[in-house]
Parts: sequence; structure tokens; C-alpha cells
Amino acid sequence: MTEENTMERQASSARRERLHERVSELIPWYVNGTLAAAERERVEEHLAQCAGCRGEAAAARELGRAFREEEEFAPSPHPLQLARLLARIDEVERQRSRPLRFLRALKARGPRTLLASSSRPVRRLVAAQAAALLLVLGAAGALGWKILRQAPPSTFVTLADPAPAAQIHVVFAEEASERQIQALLASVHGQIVAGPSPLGVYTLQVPAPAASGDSLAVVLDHLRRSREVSFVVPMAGGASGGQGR
Amino acid sequence: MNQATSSDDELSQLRRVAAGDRKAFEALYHLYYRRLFAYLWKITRRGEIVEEVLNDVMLAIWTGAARFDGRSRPSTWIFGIAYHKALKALARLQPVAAWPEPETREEPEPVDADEPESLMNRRELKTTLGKALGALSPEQRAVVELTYYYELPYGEIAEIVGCPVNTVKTRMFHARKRLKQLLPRFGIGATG
Repeated sequence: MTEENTMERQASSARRERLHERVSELIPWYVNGTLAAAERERVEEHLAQCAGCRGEAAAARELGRAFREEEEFAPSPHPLQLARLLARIDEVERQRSRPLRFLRALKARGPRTLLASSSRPVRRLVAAQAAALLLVLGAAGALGWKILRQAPPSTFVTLADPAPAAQIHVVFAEEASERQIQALLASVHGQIVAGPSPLGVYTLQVPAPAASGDSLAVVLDHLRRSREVSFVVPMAGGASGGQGR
Repeated sequence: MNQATSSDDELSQLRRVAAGDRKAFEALYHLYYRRLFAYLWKITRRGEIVEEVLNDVMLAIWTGAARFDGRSRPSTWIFGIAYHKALKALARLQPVAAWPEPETREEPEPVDADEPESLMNRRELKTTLGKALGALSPEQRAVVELTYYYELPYGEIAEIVGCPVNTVKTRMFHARKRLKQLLPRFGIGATG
């Protein structure tokens, strides 16, 4: 009889212990007011009988108040950051549609012309991409390139995150007027320091404050988006010279 | 009510982003920038990586918006992406286990419980709380912030951090234990 009682007491104490644990772990969400009605009632019933859990709940409330009082450190977005993001998105989109665009670009002119007369950074970039494409095109037997001297290529060489550089290679769109080009240059405080190469590549210099890090990315992005420009590539490391005439 | 409306707005915005609408994307960016900044800072506590991670998150929204199925709230989906990007960025920073578990001992000094109440001004409290939170693992910290600061139900937190509800409760349990050690003065240690 007594043994039975003891067992019963033990069983009920174990049940209470489990309930206590289950309720205890719900306290943070009881306090933040997001429990479903049934759970909330269960917690309230238990709190009425358990001083320990009442203390936990009080402490959790206190903690919640401290959290809500914590100042939110959140500046407004800097335009440069959005510009960088949009440039990355452009890059992603270009990657998605690259084969097509590149094909079109190469059809518009022979890669050899571009290679022969561009400055070294452009040459390297174009060479790498052309090599990849020639493999594809070679199979298609489409290697009869026409050498066009003046038609600028469509945009197909870009860098997502260029190194700081003061000089940028640019090809202006055929339809761009002199006035439009001047306005564009003024908008980036740029100056033409060399060119055009036989392919129509100009070397553009941007002033020092605009030539580093984020600012350069913004300038490049701006150039890429403008209708007057069909080709933009930064010169790595602000190398001097660029392409002579 | 209000929340439902804004949630619907965000949903239609996300749909437009999925269709490649940049204007909608920029609007979403402006809508979320400060929220994400604060949230990422709370999870990482590393100011130097917040902006970069934020851009990663937004880029993931751009490329992944078409996969958003609308079963959860847009904010849940976005905070989920942010949570995972934040953890990844932290892992890149410190490839070795850099977050001591509650059992290991490398903690900020507990606050002296005997110090006079008068000295315990709000600012100090906040600093103390900040330090204590810094001692939690990012996973624990996320659960704690999402509960106490963002006041979200555990089910939604489980969605954001991408784990079962029980794991959320376990992380909270350990986080509370840890905070008790570090914040005796908060009254949190009062009841064992």
C-alpha cells in the first residue's frame, strides 16, 4: 500500500518535472506573446503553481525589455553600395546571356583585329574569351572573319570588381554625337588621354578621387549604362600610357 | 492587419523582381536595407562584414526571387537568406571553431552582482547585454534576437534558421543558461 503510494508519488513527480521542463522552454515565447492559445494556457496554469518558472518569466520579460531598448544601429544605404550591387547584378545577367552576346560581338568584327590593336589588358581579356569561343566556333566552321576597322564592338568585356585604376578604355557608340560624348565625359570628370586606336578605343582618365575602389566601380557602371558607350574596360593598376594612336 | 498588407505588397514586389524588374528590386532594397543591416549586425556582431553580406543577400534575392514559393512571409524568406549568408561570412572569417560552446571557458567577465544599484544605469546595462550576446554562438544569438528583439514565434524562427522547432528550443535553452552566467545582475540569475 505504502509502496504503491510511493510509486505513485514518484510517477507524478516525474510527470510534473517533464511538464516543468516543457513549459520552461516555452517561457521566452510566452513572454514575447507569440504562443498559440492552448500553449499559452498551459504555461499560465503551470506558472500559477511554480515559483521558479514565475521567476524565469520575470527575468525573460526584463531581458526582452533590454533588447527592445537596444539602439538599432542601421545607417541609410550609401548610393555607392547600391551601385556596386547593381553592377554585380549586371555581371550576373551578363554571365547568364554571355554566349549569345559574345557571339554577336565577334561576328561584328574579327577577334584578331581587336587583339592586334588593343592595349595589353584588353588584349588579355579578349584573348581569353576569344580562345574559349574559337573552340566553339571552330567546330561550326565559322572562322571567316571580316576585318572591320571602325565598327565598335557591342559590350562584351567587363570586369565586375576592378582594381583601383585611373585609366579606362572606352569605345564610343557609333551613333554618339560629339556633344553627347562631351557631356558624358563631364559627368565622370573624365578626360581623353589617348586614342583612338585603329579599333576606336580611347583611353579615358578619371581624376584621383574617382579612381579608387568603390568610386571607380560607380564610374564604370555609369559608363556601361550610358548609350554613348559600347565598350568599357578599366586598366589594371592605373598603368600609364594606354593605347597610342 | 497592417503587417498582412505590407506582406502582400512585398510579395507582389518579389514577384516583379522575379520577372527581372529592377525598379521593384531597388524599391525592395530600400525597404529592407536598414532592417537587414540591423539584423546582420545583431547576428554577426562584426560591423566590417555587414555591408558585404547585405549585398550578398540582395544579390541572392535577385537571383532567387523566382524560387520563392510564397508559402512563408517574404520577410521570413529574406531573413532566412540573411541568416545563412551571415553564418557563411563568419565561417570565412574564422574557419576554425571560433565560438566557444557554453561549456568551454573563455568568457567576458561576469558583472559583479554586489555593485551598487545606482551605478547600474541603462547604458551600462546595454553594454553588458551586448557583451553577453557576443559570447553566444551566432546560431544561439540569432534565436535570442529573433525571439526577444523581433518577437517572432518559434515556428517562424525555425523557418528562418532552417532547423526543426526543437533545435530552436534547445538553442534558446543553452543561450539562456549562458546569459544567466553572464548577466546575474539582470535578475536572470535570480531563479536558478
